[in-house]
Amino acid sequence: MSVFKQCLRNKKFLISIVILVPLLFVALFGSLMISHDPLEIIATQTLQLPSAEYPMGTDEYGRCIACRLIIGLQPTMIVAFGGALIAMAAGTLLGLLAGYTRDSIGNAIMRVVDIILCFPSILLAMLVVGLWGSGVVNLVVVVGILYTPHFCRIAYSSTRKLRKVEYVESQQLLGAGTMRILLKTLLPNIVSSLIIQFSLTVSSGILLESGLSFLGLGVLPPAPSWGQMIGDARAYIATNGQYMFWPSLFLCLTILSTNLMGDALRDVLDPKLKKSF
Amino acid sequence: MSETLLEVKNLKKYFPVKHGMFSSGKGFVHAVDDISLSVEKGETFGLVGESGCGKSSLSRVILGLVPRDSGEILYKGKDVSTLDRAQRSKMRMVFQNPFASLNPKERVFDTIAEPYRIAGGYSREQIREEVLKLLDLVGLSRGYANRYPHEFSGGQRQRIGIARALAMNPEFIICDEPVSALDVSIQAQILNLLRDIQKELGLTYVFISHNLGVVKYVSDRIAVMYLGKIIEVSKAADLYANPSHPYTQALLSAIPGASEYLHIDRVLLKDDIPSPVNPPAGCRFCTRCLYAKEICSQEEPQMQPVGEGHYAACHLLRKEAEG
Amino acid sequence: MIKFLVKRIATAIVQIFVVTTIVFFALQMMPGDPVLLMLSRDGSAVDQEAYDALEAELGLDQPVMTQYTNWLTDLVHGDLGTSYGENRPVTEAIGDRIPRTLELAAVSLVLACIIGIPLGILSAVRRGGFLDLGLTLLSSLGNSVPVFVLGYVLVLVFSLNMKLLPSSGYVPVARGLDNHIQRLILPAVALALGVAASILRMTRSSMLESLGSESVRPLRAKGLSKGKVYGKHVMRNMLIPVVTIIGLQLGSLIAGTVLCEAVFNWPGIATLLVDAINNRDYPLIQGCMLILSAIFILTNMVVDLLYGFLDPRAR
Repeated sequence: MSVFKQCLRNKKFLISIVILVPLLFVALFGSLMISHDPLEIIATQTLQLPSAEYPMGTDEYGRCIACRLIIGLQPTMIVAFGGALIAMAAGTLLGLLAGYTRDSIGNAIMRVVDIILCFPSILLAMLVVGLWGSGVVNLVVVVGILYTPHFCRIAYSSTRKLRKVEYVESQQLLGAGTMRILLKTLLPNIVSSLIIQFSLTVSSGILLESGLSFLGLGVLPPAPSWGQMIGDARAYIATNGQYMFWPSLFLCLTILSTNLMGDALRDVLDPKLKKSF
Repeated sequence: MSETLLEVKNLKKYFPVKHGMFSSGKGFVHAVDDISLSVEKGETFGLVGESGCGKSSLSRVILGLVPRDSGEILYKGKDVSTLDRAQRSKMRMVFQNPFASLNPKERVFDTIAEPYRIAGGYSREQIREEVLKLLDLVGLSRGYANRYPHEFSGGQRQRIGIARALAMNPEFIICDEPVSALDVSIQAQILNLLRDIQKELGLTYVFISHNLGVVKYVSDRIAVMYLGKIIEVSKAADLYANPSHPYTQALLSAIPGASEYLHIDRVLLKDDIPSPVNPPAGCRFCTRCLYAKEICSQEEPQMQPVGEGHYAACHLLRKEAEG
Repeated sequence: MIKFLVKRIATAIVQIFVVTTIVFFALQMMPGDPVLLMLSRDGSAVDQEAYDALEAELGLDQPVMTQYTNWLTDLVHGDLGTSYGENRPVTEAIGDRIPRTLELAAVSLVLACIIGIPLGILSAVRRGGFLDLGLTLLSSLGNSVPVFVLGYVLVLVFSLNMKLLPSSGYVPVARGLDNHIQRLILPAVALALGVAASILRMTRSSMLESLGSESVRPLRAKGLSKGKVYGKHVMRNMLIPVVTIIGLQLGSLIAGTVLCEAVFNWPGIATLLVDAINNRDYPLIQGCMLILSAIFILTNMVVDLLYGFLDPRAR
C-alpha cells in the first residue's frame, strides 16, 4: 500500500490536514480576505465585542482582531516552515557528509554542530534576535540554525549505518561521485525520518516564534503576530477576555495540527514505532 | 589460456583495531597479508577459505573499494590506480547479499541503468535499450523493470545484481559469494547463469566462496586462503584429486561424502581459527595442524611447486621432497 | 563506569568552555555600542572625553583578545563583571535571581513527574480503554498549548473567576511561607502540565514496550502475579526511557521558564535576561547566558550519567 493511501487512512493525518490546509491557505492568500486594514488605528472603537463588522471584535487600538489574526499567521508560518526548510537542507547535507567521509572529519563536523545544542534553544534565539534585531528574516535564520543539529544527527547516524552497505559500495565501484552517492543513493533511504523531524521542527518553530513575539522579541509591531497579540491582550484579560481567546485558540489549533501530523507521519513512515503510540 | 589479465603482487592490507579512546595499544587485523596471484583471461579463478580469512577484503582491495597498504595490483599490466574510468568500468563485482546490494528505493530499471548514467554520454533510448537487453540476458522479464527490489526473491535480486555488473560490457567480474545467501535450489540456477554468461561474453571471473562444492563446480583454478594468506593454488581438478596442504586436506575432507569419492579420511581440526589480529608466528596454520613440527612455528613457509601449476606453502612438503 | 564518568564530565567542561567563548565573541560582534548607549539613552551627542573615560573604565578600549583573557581570568575567580544597568556585580544580580528560577523549574519538574508517570502507567495498563483514550487526547492537547496560553487560562480560572490564588508576583519566603507558596502554584502548574504531557506519552509507550518484551512475557506465563510483574520487572525496564525523556524535557523546561516568568511576573533570571537584552547590558547578558547554559549542560550531564548507571549499554 502506498504511503499516500496509508496517510489517508490515518485519523490523525486527516484531522491535521483538515486544520492545516485552511491555515496554509490563509497564510498564503490572507491579504485578499481581509476587509479592514489590520494596522489602521481607530481610536473611537477600541476593545469592541464581536459584531457583524468585526467578527472577533477589536483590540486596544480599535484594529480588527480577525484581520490581524489572518495577517499575523503569515510571519509565523514563514518562520516555522522557512526555518525548518533551512535546518533540513543544512542539517541533512552536513549529516550526510559527516556520516560518509572519514571518521575524523565526520566527528569534527558533528562536534561543531553539537555546540548549538549546548545552548538552550530559546536563550540562543533571544540573544540573537534581541541584539541583532527581530524581524521575520532573522527569525527564519535563527530557527534554521537552532534546528540544524537535529537533522544533522539523524542524517549522520543513518548514513553511518548505510555507508558500508553493499549498494553503496556498488555505487563507489561504478565510479559515482560523492555527491551523487549522498544525494541519489543515500538520501532517498533516510528521507522518511527527515520528514518526521521536519513536521516536529515546524511545530517547534511555531512555538518558538510565538514565544519570542510574546516576549516582544519577535515580529516587529505594528505588524501582527499571534504570540504578540496574546502578549498585548494580557492587559485586558479581565475586562475583554475574547481578545486573548482568539489568538490563543488558533495558536493551539495550529500547534496541535502540526503535532498530529508528526504523529501520523511517524505511524506511516516508521512502522517499527507504530505500536508505541 | 595464456594472457594474464590480473596480477597481484605482495598485496597487503591491515585494518587497525581500536581498543578505546584512552588505551594506546593498537592492533591490526591482518586481512590481506602478502598475497600474490594471477588470473588468466577467460578463466574462473576460485578463492576458498573460512569466513573471516580475508577473501572479501582481498576482493575489495583489488577493486579499489578499500585502499591497499602495499603491493601491486596490475590489470592488463597496468597498475589499477592509474586506470582511467573507461578501463575501470571493465572491472565489476557481484555482491554477496542480494538483499543489501540493491538500493531499496530505486526501481530495477534505475539500478541497472546507473552505470550508464554515471559514465554519461548515453541517450535515454540507448540506456533503455541496454537495460532491457541486460534483463533478457539474465533471464528476467522486461516487465520487471519498473518494480522495486522488495518485490523480488533472493534469486531474482541476484539476477538484477548480475545485470548491473554486466552493464557496459565488463571483462573482469569478482563474484563475492554470489550464491551463499540463496536457497540451495536457486544456487544452481545462478551458477549456471554465471557460467552461460561467461561463455557468451568471454568474461573472466574471480569466484569467492566458502563452499568447496560450489567452487569446484565453477572454477578452472582454485586458491585456498587461510588467515590472510594463500596457502595453496592449483588447477581445480588437481586440487581435489591431490590436496597438498594439510589445511586443504581438512577442508576437502569436510565435504559430506568426501571419503567415498575423494578417498581421503575425515580430518578434524583442533581449536578455533586464531584471531587475525595476532596471527600465529611461522606457519599460520601450525596451531591447528595435525602434522605440525618445530620448524612450523618458527619459520614462515614459502610457496613451492608440488605439481604442474600446483603450488603449496608447507614445510612438510619440502621435507618430503628432500627426504 | 569510571571511564564513562570521567569522559562525560570532561565533555561537559569542554562544552562549558566553548559556550563561554562563543558567548563572549558573539557579543563582540553585536551591533550597537554599549558605551554610547550608557551615556545617551536618547541618542544625543556625547562628550568625547566622557566617552573615552567610560570606555577605559569598562576595559572596552583594549584589543579583543586582551578583553577575552581578562574576562576568562575574572571568570575563573568568580567575577562576571559589573552590570551597566544595575550598577552592581553581575554575580550578585544573578545570585539574587537564580534561586527563584531554579525553585520554579524544580517544583515544576517534580510536579510533572508526579502527574505524568502514574497517569502514563495507568494509561498503559488500561490500554485501549476509555481512560487510555482520554489521557492520550489530553496529552496531545497538553503538548500543543504553549505555556503562556496555559498560564493565562489558569489565571483566568483560578485567580480572576474563583479568586483562589493571586495572579502574579513573587513574595520571598521570609515574608510568609503561605504567601510564597500561593504565588508559586500557578506558574509551577502552568509549566508542569506541558512537560507532564510528554512524560505521560513516554511512560505509556515504554511501559507498553516493556510489557510486551520477551523478558517480561514469560514471567506472567510462569505464574507470577500481575502486581509483581508490574511492580518489579516492568518498572525497571521502563525507567530508562523515562529518565531520557525527563532529560530531553530540560530544554523545553528552560524555554517554558522564560515564558512563564514573563506571564506571572516571576522575577527570575529569565526576566533579568530579557531586561538585559533590552538594555544591551553586555556583562549581564554574558553572565545570564553563561549561567543558564552551564546549568543546561550540567543537568544534561547528570541525566547522561544517570542513564549510563541504569543502562550499561549507554556507557
